[in-house]
Amino acid sequence: MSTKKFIPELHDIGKLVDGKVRDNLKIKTKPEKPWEGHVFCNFKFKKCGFSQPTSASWWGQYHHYSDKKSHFKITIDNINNWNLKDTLGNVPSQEDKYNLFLLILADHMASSVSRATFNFKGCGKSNQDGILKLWNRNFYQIETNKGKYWAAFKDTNDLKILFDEIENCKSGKVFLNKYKDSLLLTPEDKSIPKNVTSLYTHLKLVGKIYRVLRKNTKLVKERNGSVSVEYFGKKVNTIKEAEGGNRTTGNTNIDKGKWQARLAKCRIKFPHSFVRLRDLNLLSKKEECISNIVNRYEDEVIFASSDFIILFVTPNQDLKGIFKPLLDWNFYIEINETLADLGILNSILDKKILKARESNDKTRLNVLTSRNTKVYKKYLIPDIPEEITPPICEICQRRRGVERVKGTVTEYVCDKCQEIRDMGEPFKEYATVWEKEGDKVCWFKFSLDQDKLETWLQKTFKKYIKDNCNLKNAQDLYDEFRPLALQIDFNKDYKEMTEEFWKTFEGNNDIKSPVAGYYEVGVFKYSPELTKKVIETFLSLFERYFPDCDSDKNSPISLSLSITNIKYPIREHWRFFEKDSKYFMNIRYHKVFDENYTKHELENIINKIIGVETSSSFLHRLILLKKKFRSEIHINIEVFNNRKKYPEIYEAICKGIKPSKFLNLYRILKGDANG
Amino acid sequence: MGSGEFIELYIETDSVVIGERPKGGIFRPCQSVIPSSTVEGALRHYFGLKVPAVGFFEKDTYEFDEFTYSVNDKFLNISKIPLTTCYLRPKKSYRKIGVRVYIPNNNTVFPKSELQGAEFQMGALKSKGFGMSKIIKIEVIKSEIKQGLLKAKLSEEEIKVFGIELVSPIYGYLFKPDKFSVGGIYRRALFPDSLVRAPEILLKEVTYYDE
Repeated sequence: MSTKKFIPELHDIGKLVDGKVRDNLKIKTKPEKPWEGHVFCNFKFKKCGFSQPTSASWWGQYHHYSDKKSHFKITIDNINNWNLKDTLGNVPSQEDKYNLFLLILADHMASSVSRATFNFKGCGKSNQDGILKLWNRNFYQIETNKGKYWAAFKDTNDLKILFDEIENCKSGKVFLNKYKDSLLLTPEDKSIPKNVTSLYTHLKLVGKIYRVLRKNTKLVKERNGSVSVEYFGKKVNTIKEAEGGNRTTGNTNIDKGKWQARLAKCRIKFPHSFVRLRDLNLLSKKEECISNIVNRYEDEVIFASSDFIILFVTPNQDLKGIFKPLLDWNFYIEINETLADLGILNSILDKKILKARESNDKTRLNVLTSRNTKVYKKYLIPDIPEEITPPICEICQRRRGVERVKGTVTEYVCDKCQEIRDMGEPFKEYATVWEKEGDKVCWFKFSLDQDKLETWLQKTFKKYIKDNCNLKNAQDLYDEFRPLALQIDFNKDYKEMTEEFWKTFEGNNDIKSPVAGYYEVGVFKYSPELTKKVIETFLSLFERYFPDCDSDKNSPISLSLSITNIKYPIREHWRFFEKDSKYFMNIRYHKVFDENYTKHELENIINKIIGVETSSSFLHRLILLKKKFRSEIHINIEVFNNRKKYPEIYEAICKGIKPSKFLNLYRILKGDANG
Repeated sequence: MGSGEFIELYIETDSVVIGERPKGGIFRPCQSVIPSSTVEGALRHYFGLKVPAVGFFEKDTYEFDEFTYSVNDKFLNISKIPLTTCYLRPKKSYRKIGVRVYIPNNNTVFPKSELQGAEFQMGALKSKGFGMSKIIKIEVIKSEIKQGLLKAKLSEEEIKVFGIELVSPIYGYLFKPDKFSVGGIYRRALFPDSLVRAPEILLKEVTYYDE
């Protein structure tokens, strides 16, 4: 047995090898192939002149192992019958087999389309080397044009480096960082339609799931010399026994697995209201607490954003303990939790179950109930007393307020909220310089709605299958879709987009991100020019990162702008940002208008109406008409009468863009915003 | 699952201020959920009714607006700095805001004929004319108990009387005045979005979670 640590992230390293390498080596190994698939367990080391690795991680190369002659299949056969032997004649230790056993389980769980039992051979189309992002279909092409290439191991000599990684790599993190560029360009599975997840995210997920299972399982040596793998008292000998089948519907073949786990989707919320600018420090505190949780539970946390965490945990893991740092600061957590057999556990199973219950879908409910599948909604809230003697804290309203007098102002703020205030002034110029200089500001916030994202990914994957495959089992493929890895990739791109947004405004002192490191929120001194630049920057970045994503009321990503007098309370901006049913863009001009826009509407209005200088006087006339009659009929008539003179405005109305939409946008982008 | 019986009051209201606790500065926010303490206070004050009650604004019949006023210091005979308060007013196409108030019907005598058409005020800034309300219709309704997300804000001690069972609550506080209405205390209260089993009229959404 090798003493080196088993690194699950290395198991798919073969997916980073260029096809040319195999072709080049064929001469040496003729008539046989130098190796099969993306694993090196059958690699012709001697003929090709390489040394076989002997580390613990080497045995990860057997995760798809099967032998047609003996009808052996690693996913089905008993661990005690895994008679593996490498090219040097070494056999894996029981510990090696145990690692491999958990790796296979983790690999199944982390794949975007279940491959536990589903024998899918692809759509008949040739494999795609580069990743296809559903929200940015030309991504790989664009990266290729920049000179990038998916493969990390491009020629025969690179295989030496590859085997050296398997032999000597120190950790999964080191491996992921070293090959990040290639891993992000390579799909987890190159066959259409499974080429939609990055190998980077897949490997990251496999590593996390593997380590959670490793922490909670043990290898049990039985008296008869055989071994079992035990998870919370449940012993198994085969992968299939542990995870069960992957079907969630049908009357027969329920295929219950013995091992269950939980996927918890956790939204971080707070009751606080931002009375003063310094109360925005709460957002920094939230980031700090999330960062603590991510560091402490780096395997359990599948991914985290500024207000959302997905956890992969065992049935008995205490979530309150995990979220203690947030609960201590009066945040509360809304959790949607799914408990299921490993074979079917995924991030949208909760929605499937709830839908099946609502529609009383017996074929699905029969399987899910028999497999003891549960969906819970839970709130984790801080312990609060039954009564509070006044005064109550004006910020969190969950603790007793302490009188704080500053000049003529008396406030009642609890010690915790005061501590957050005392973290410092996040944006000093706002109250000192900006307030004196100008009278209007625009607060803005980017948002990513995880529910909408799940729905969009499901819908889009279904369409992708339909467009690319003519499969009898397309429905199965769709049913077994697991969007978790895609969600992670999407969130990564979203974060990059918001960071990129701020780079565009570097050095501009009229626009600020008031909370350091919190890229979703910003504020600028309102001017038509800057408002236009903010909107156009967002449109252009969205076009670059998410050109194929919905950009209407179903858009997972949105930008909200709230323009008011600088003295207007920040909590009211926040209330606007937290509103449900957001569109792609939401603009509120305090006491003037509140409007939603799709990307299509915005582009049409900005490019065809606001960009056309000759129409400005006409638009002013329309604004006056709107003020006078408060009706769109008069505007429509006026536009119709002037359709030849101002065809762009007539065209917009014909396209279904309401006059109020372009008039309101015109007001803020051209400066006539007095209502 | 069982059901609960309620007296439903359909009320029409002019502009109304349901103040939120946080103040801080010169802007007073307003909420669109009527806490049980507000409805109960109004029914007790105007009709002497000591009954548990919750109320909801009819969706889409209201919108937010702002009202600026100045508090007068009678002693010094001066006006203090102007305050702005948020309030709800009827939405463009509506003449009044629709409100439905639910009182558990537990066989106590209810003065239906006295309340029919009665007028009263509810919420804050009554002296400025806010909260004028009229009871339009009173009827007894039944509501099936289902699992779902609560849309009401009500004191913890009233949970039982409304036939609510907690699954996973969200708590906040509601102010409970003392018997002299001089002081009072903040009592823990069940807040909207709590997962409960309750009469459907109290739910914003029926759900199907395991318990």
